[in-house]
This record gives sequence, C-alpha cells and structure tokens, in this order.
Amino acid sequence: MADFIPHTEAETREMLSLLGLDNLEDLLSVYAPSMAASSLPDLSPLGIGQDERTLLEWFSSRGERNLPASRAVVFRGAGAYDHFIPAAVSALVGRGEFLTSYTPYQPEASQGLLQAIFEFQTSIARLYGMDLANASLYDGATAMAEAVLVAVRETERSVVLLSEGIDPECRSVLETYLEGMSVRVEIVPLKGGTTPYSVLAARVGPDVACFVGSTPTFLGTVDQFDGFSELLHGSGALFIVHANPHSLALLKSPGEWGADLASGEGQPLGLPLSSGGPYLGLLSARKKFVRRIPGRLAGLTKDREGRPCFVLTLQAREQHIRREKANSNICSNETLLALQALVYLSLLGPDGLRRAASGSWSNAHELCARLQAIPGISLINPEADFFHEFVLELPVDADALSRHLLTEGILGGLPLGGLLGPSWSRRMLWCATELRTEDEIARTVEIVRLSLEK
Amino acid sequence: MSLQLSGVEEPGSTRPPMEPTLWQKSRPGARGVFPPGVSPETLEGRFPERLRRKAPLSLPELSELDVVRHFTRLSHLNRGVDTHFYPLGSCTMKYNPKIMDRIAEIAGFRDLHPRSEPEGMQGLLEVLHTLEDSLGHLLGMEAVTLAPAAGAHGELTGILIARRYFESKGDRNRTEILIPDSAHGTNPASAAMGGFTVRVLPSGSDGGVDLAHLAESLSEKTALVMMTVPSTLGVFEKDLLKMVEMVKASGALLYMDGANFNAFIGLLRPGDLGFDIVHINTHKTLATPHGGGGPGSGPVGVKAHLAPFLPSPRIRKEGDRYSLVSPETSIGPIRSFIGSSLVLLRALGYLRMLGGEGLRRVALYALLNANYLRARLSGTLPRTGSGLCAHEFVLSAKELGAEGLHASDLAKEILDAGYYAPTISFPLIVPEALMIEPTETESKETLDRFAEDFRRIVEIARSNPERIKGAPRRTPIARPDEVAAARDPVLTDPASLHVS
Repeated sequence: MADFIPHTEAETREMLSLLGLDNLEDLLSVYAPSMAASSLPDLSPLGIGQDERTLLEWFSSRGERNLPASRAVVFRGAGAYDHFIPAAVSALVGRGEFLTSYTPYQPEASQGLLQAIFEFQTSIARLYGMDLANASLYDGATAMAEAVLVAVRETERSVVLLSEGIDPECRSVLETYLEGMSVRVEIVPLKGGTTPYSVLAARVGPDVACFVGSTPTFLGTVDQFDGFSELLHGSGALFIVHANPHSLALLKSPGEWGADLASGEGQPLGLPLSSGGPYLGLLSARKKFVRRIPGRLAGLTKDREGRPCFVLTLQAREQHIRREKANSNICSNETLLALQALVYLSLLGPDGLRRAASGSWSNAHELCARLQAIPGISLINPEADFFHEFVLELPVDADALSRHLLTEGILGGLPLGGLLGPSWSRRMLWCATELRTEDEIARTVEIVRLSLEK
Repeated sequence: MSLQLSGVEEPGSTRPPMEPTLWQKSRPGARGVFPPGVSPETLEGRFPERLRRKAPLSLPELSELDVVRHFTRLSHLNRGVDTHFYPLGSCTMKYNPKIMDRIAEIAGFRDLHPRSEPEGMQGLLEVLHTLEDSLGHLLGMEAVTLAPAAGAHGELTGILIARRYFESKGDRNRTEILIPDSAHGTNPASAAMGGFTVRVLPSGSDGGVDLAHLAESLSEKTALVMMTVPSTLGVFEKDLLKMVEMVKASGALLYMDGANFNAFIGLLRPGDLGFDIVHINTHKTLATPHGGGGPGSGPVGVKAHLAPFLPSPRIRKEGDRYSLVSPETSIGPIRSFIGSSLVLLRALGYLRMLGGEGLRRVALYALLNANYLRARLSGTLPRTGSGLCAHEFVLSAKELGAEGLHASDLAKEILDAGYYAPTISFPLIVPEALMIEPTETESKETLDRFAEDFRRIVEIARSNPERIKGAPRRTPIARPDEVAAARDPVLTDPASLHVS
C-alpha cells in the first residue's frame, strides 16, 4: 500500500525529463544486457501491499500463536533471561536520532552515539573488571568465538581448551567459526560443577592457546578459577572468562580471576527475550590486547579547538582499512543494544543491579529448596554453589513435565536431553530471576508436585 | 588526556554544548529506578564469601530524570534519517517506517523465550518461514537462512557454505577467493576468517572487473568469486553474464554481495543471473533501522545444491506445523538461537506493506533519485563512470587537492549545510571519493536543495578553500584529533575509576 516514495507524478515526470527519459522503465537500461524489460521477475508471490492496520493484525495474530510461551511465567534461562526492564529504557533507545543513524563515521554529527559507546565501553570494562571493552559484537556466542580468535592470533597456537561449563550452543558456534582454521577444541570436563585445577594443569602445554571458563556455568554452578591465571600464563596461554553480566553484581569478576579477555551475553542488561535476538555480544580485555581485539572502539580525544570529544579509533585493526589482514570481518555490530544496556545500567546504578542480582540469587535458591523437597527430585552437583540456575534430576521425562507446565502457563526449566543427550532426558535446568514472585514460585512448585504424584 | 565536558554553551559560539559523562554527573547515593529484588544484606550468611566480588562496582549513580536528560541530550548531538538527509553511499539510509517499531513491540514476539518448545513458538516460526520464502522469491534462490546477524556475518556464512560444498565433493584444492579491489572491506576479511587466501581482481578503467585479469586469476584453486552488484561505484558490470559464464566454467562458485540490493529489488534476481550464494542487508534494502551501528541482519540465499550446508537450526514446515532441525550436513550454528528475530519481523513487515509492485517501485525510484541527483551535480566534481548510474554514484574531489582540500573537508562543510555527509574515501580505487546514495525515500525538494548546497560548497572550495578548511562551524565539535586518539587510546572514562 504505502511505499514511502514521496514523489508526486508531476515531480517524477520533471525528474525523468531532466534525464531525457520518458518513463521510469527507461532506467532499466542500466541493467542491459543482463535484463530485457520483458524479463522482469514474477512478484505475485510477494502479494499486494497492505495498510498499517492489516499489517499489524497479521503480525498480532501470529504473535498470539506464541502466547503459550510468551505470556508464560518464565523459569527458564539457559542463555536468555527474563529480567526487569525499566520503562525509560525503550523510551530513550527508541529516539530516532539514535535508532535511524548509521555507524558514527562523521564524529561531528555523531557525538551522542560516540559518547554513549564510550560510556558503554566504560560500564562493561568496570563490570567485568577489565581495562577496556569494545562497542559490541553480535551476541555472547560470537563474542566468545572472537575472544578465542584473539588468543589464537596472539599465541599462534592451535589448541583451545574449553570448559564443559560453556553453553553447548556457544561451543558449536565456536566450532563453526573455527571451521576454516587448523585449530582444535578440547573440552575440559567439570567435576561436581567446577573445573578441577589438576585437570587443567595436566593438559596445559606449548600447543595450548587458551582456556575458556564460564561463570556461572551453563548448568548454573559458580565455577572457580583459583590459580588458573598463573598456570595458563606460565605456559604462555591466555585465560578467557565467559561471564553473565547480571551475576557480576555479586560474583567475582573475570578481572579478579586474572582473565586476559572476557566475553559475555549482554541480553540480561535490559534487553527483552526478543525471540532470540537481536542480542548483545560483550568483549572486554586487558590493555595489552587493545590492538588485537575486534570491533568498533570509541576513544576520547580533543577537537581542533581543544574540546574533549569522541571518535572511532584504532580503525587500523578493522576490515575497511586492513581488509584480509583485519582482526575480524565485523562491521555492523549491536550498537543500539549496547546503548540499551547502558541506559539500563545507568537507571539501576550499582545498588539497583546488586538488588536485582540478589533477588535472582535468592529466588533461585528458594525455588531450588522447594523443588528439591518434592520426593524423587534431586539437585545434581549439590556440593557446588549456583547463582540463579540449577539442574534437577526428575523421576520422570523432563520434556513431558515441560509440556505439562506450559499448559499451566509456566515456561519451566529447560529439558536437557535435546541438548546434552539421552542420559540427560530426566534433567531440567531451572532458573529464577528477580522478577519471579513468591506466588509464582509457590504455584509452580505445587504444579510440579501434583504432576509427579499422578 | 582530560575529559572536562562542560555541558554549558560557550559564549558567542555557534556550537551546541556537549554533555558531561554519566560518571561526571554521578552523585554517590543517588538512586534511579528501584528494581524488583532484595537488598544484598538479606543474603548475609547465605551467600558464600569466597565467591563475592571484592572489586568496586563502578557504575554511575543518578536519578531517573538525570538519566533521561542525559540520553535525550546525547540524542540531540546525533543525526539520523529521522532528522537529516543521509546520503551515505553504500549504506542505503532510507526512511525506517514507524509501524515496524510497533510490530517489534508485539508481546508475543518481544517476550518469547528463544528456548521455548516449538509448540510455543509456532507464530514466530511461521513468520520467519514466510520471510525465508519471500526472500527466496526476490533473490531467485531455493533456500534462505535468516541466521546471520549482519552483512559481514552473512558473508562468513556463505564462505563456510562454499567450503563445506567443496569438501563434500572431495575437492580440497580450492583455497582461493577472488575479490575485486572495489569490494567492501568485509569481503576479504570474511574470506580470511573462513580460511581462504584472497586474490584481488583489479578494476579496469571503467571501474568494472577486468575480464582478462579474471580469466588469468581463475583456476582449479578458485573456490569462490565474490561480486558486488551493482559495484561499489554504482555501476552495473556490462560484462556480468560473460563473467558468470567464465566462473562457472572454472568450477568455482559465485557469490553476490547484495549490499546494493536496493538498486534492483524486484527487477533482477541474483539466482537468475547465475549466482550461487547471495547475502542482503535488511538494514539497508529492507528499511530496518541501523541503530547507529547495528542491529543489522544479513539473510543468505543459496541455490538448491548448497541448501544442505545452511547454518542450523533450520525451520521445517510439515503441514501446518513448524519445527527446528539441525541437519548433519549443516555448517553448524553461526550465532546463538534462531536469528535477530525482532529485526527480521520488521523486514517482513516492510515486504508485506509494499508488496511485489511496491518493492519494484523502490528500485525504480532509487535509480531515479540517484540519477536525478547525479545529473543535478554534473559539472561540480568529476564522476567515476559514465551514463546512467545505479542507486548511487561516486564523485572524486581529487582536483581540489590543488587547493589543499580533501573529500573529507567537503564532508565537513556538508555537515554545516544541514545534512549527514556522503561516504568518503570509499571505494578505495577512486582518489578522494565522495559516494552519494540518496535512496528512494527522499523527495525531489530535498535533492534539489542538497544539489544547490553541494554546488555552492564546491564553488567555495575553489574560490575560498580556507573557508572549507574551517568547517564545520555549527556542530558540537570540529575535527577531532584522530591521531592523538589512536596514539594513546583512552577507551574508558577516567572518572569511573574514582567511584567506589
């Protein structure tokens, strides 16, 4: 219906006449000889244009078909978390000056976004306890893969040690990224939910580029890396920590563990679940890797008249300058989502973030205690600490329980059989964030109890 | 380097004031939004001390109004399509329809957990499957993946697909990718990430690929030839069909960088032209907002023989039911979850709102606007290429070198005239390039005004170059020292180190 083409017929004619053309189709001569005007493709499968109301109705009705899950009470995490998002976040991020701008190539016309990127880099570097952060990558999985690529380039070694605690999907994405390279991924198993120092110590060597640990792990446990940094650095390898930013309000940061690089998924910082995207890849690093890391960087400088201001900097690392020798091919990233995370962090402040994280910890531990009290249910890795996710062993098939919970309006823990194999088919990864209420927890526990009694 | 952003207007200045940083405005003890949760003290005795963060949590402390004013002021220091004509070549900065913002806000999508069971996400899978189909029709491709998060990510995906394809045929000798020197930098960077060696194809005098060089470069080692259509000079290769034939004969695959899809959406289909793989950028052609550097989305279409290698998960439709599958032959996942869904919803909204005929008008008017503006600018600066251009064109400011001016100097004066600037210094093969892409959503009136201003600016550049060197005068800052920024990079706010 609408095509957002503002020309009146008279204007179109006038413009064509300046070009010495009679009609729009005369412009198709640009494509000769690849196309004769008669060979225009059949566009009937695209349908006829719709007005706003019809369009919105079509999408709304499809949205309704997702309702069982999108309106459910969410006790599922596994890489995507249902957190509180203040109303001011979307009000600010939706401003057209930000939303409809391009990468800030002209600093004079882009100071707002450049400053926001600089502030985002600052907040992520401080949260992760690192010296610096970039302007964002696509998502947590690709951020981790890019961190690994930094280590591979830096060390020129060919083995990547990956904790079993890394989200298996992140591992698969890393393997896809490494497809064209002679780099091997080896898994360092968890024991009781944490990475044993002795296992890593037995494996490090001159072929190892890096070890990647996760905190919390995919299974929710809080891994601990005492001595890892010294061990890895002693053998010339790098230490990468993939961490959930929400948890870092309370948990030891990658910087405190001595990491060289840290990655993470920024979705918990004010981004809705969004059917899986767009999300926000976080990458932070020690200062010595500043010329190695991929992605945009906003830096402080002065303008010609001495005013402090911001620019995209160290572009010599990037594809538009270095081409095949660039640190990465990344160009468009997730800047608007970085702005969103920054607005979220500014609104909550340190106290608010600690309060939300404490709520998540507290709710998850309450939920775990109550579910564990149901006969037949047990916590795996009971000796390990967890943050806001934990795995329960059930006396029944986890998929069946999950489907039953959905009929009750609850998106329960994630059944793990599909991801981790048949031996996990009775295991569920539960999550509770600060948003879950006492009533929601009580009702869910009761429904689980009743379903197991049947 | 000190960071004293005053936030106060300079007396007598034509420049709007800058805004202090969040940390400069931070007031210890100030509270913003009070989120659900519990006070950390309530965890005392339960939360294990050895896990506790000891490092300060140096986030700013501000009231909600402080935060709202901060970001609103920052927005005033930023130009977008909503506020300014944005002729940034190769970026297709067209109007982003507001109705699509509404679609992305529908709770059934916005609040859907990506690890929901397929029965809870039938609406999402239907929408995405519909978009795959629609793009397949527009691209002339048998299969489409929506997974890539941006154009460059789509390139990497396509390149890994090509790698798998040749592996599946037991052909391990094809280690090279041929890329024209006029290509976007992402092309060679993606090829390198995919583990290939890049061979550069030099452009001929008309900016097109030199056929003799192509013939010389093609061999049994060539895996892929990456072409941008129309080229980054805004020129459609006159020998395209011949080139396609040569590449096919060599056994290599043909990749189209569809960044310039706006020039031919609904007019030509990459599949019909003989391409095996194509990526497009939804944030260019399909009007999804670029957000100052993303989110983008880079769907990739392939011919049937490459479909088995598309990234997982794939959406499968059986009857009226949709599910997600991960075929053995897939290159594997290229990112988390299914795709940048909220971006893809907007893209489908755009396709449905315009319909087939509307999309064809998009390309025709993109051609009209570019050619009209090109004609209005004739006689200002020399253009690379001749005759009709596609959706954009490239001027060279090289001759102003005699006045000591660069393309970047003109760009600053263009900012002062109330526009965003054209792309400068790209493509690399044109000295002092100014790449101009008006898009179809700009009115004749805007183009006329821009043409007049541009002509005036070039005249000033010739008569009074010093004036141009003094630009910009109306922007909050002028000519940041990029060398100093890179010499000793300050990438985080020093004030954040003093917060406890």
